[in-house]
Amino acid sequence: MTVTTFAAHRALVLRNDWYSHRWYDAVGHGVTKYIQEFATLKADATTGDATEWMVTLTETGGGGDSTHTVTDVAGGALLITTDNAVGDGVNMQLGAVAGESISLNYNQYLYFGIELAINDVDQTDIFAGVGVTDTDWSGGVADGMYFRSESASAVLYFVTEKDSVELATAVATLADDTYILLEYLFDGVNVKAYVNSNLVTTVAKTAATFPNDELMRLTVEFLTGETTANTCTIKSLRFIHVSE
Amino acid sequence: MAVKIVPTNNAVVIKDADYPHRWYDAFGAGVIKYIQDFSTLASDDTTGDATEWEVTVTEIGAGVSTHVITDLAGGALLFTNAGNDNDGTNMQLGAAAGENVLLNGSYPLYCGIEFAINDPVQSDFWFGVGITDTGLLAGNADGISFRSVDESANTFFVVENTNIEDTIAVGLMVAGSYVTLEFLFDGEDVIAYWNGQEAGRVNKRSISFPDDTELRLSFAFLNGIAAVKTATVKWMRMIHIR
Repeated sequence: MTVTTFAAHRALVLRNDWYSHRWYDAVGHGVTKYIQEFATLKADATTGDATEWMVTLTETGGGGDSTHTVTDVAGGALLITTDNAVGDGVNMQLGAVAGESISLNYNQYLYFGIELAINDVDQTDIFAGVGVTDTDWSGGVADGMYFRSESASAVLYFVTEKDSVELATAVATLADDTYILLEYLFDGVNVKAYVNSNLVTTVAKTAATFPNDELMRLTVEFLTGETTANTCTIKSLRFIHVSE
Repeated sequence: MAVKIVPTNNAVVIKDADYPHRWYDAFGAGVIKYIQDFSTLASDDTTGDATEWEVTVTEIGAGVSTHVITDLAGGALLFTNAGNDNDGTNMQLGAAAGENVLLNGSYPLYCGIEFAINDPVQSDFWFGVGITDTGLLAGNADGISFRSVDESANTFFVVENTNIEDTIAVGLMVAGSYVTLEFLFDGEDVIAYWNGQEAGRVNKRSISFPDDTELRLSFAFLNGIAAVKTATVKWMRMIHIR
């Protein structure tokens, strides 16, 4: 058996048998989820923007547009391509103008996972996780729980942040064009972050930086850090929240 | 375990262990479903309309009638009407066509919704399955639904075949309070539930049981007076096994 079930409050979770932090799906009371392997993505016929997301594009360069399109990769993938000015790229928050649906003010569960590769890891910014509504995470997001790497460095951090007070832990060094699997699981007591299936850090919900007083939403932001278009390829993206 | 897995026809149903009428999901042959927690909703970039639904908005009064994802723990869709009496939104799953529920045999059907209305006495709503109709609250010929019309917060469970309806009062909506409305057709009876409690049932041999035409998941919400009203839907599910 490679998948087992687990009772989370009044829901049934399907998770990896060996890597029990890896949730694939959940069914039952109080489940909120977004599970995407990018075989396709609902997109507007005119703009090409994902229609389940609030998409904010920055494309001040002259190299073209910042885009996010399903691409040819075995297993499915979303290709984000930035325009070519510093700070060009895509901010995507699940939902519409509003859409904060995740609350961690009690012993809720939250799984987040993303598998991605970036063509030039030390000249790009990547933010992936959950946070408050904010169309510019590179400018600083007040509350969230996410992975972050910014240009001029390939170091990846796991960040918990509350009211603009953050705890950032270096958890990996990204490599060009190399897929990396980033996950975390909040089990109601601790949030544990994993890189390529290995536990890399743990933060307790009692930490001052644990974001327990704001609603949050699934977010991905990818920007170029130089005057060159860069790309990020996302193979999978999941959040699964069991609220009660 | 809070859920249990039960074989049903040629599928398996994942249902609540304590409330077995409450279906969460189903997998297998003949399953047709729409399961929505409103963490998001695919919406047209220009109009904002949900793209998986046939949306008919009425907005004679000031403002526009909208349906947008809102900030709420667990996710929610917020309906806001324009300012005239009977302004609001009629939504049917699919496109101009999209009837896919047929109850002409032992084909189970579960429908459920959790929502709140800011002023249930002065608004109208319709939720369930019905034939294609862009004015559900003006009279739908065939369907199984919950319905409340203005001047009363009474909610009725309605089973209707070729304009012959059977209505059962199931509860009283309270302004701003969430209510869970569900019905399950088990192949013999269609049973209505109000906040998890059985509130009425109709047998499939009733002349009002809609067994001769395809139906589709539908929701409508209108003002009952010339004032803006809102409805907040936390989740919506339809699971049908052919």
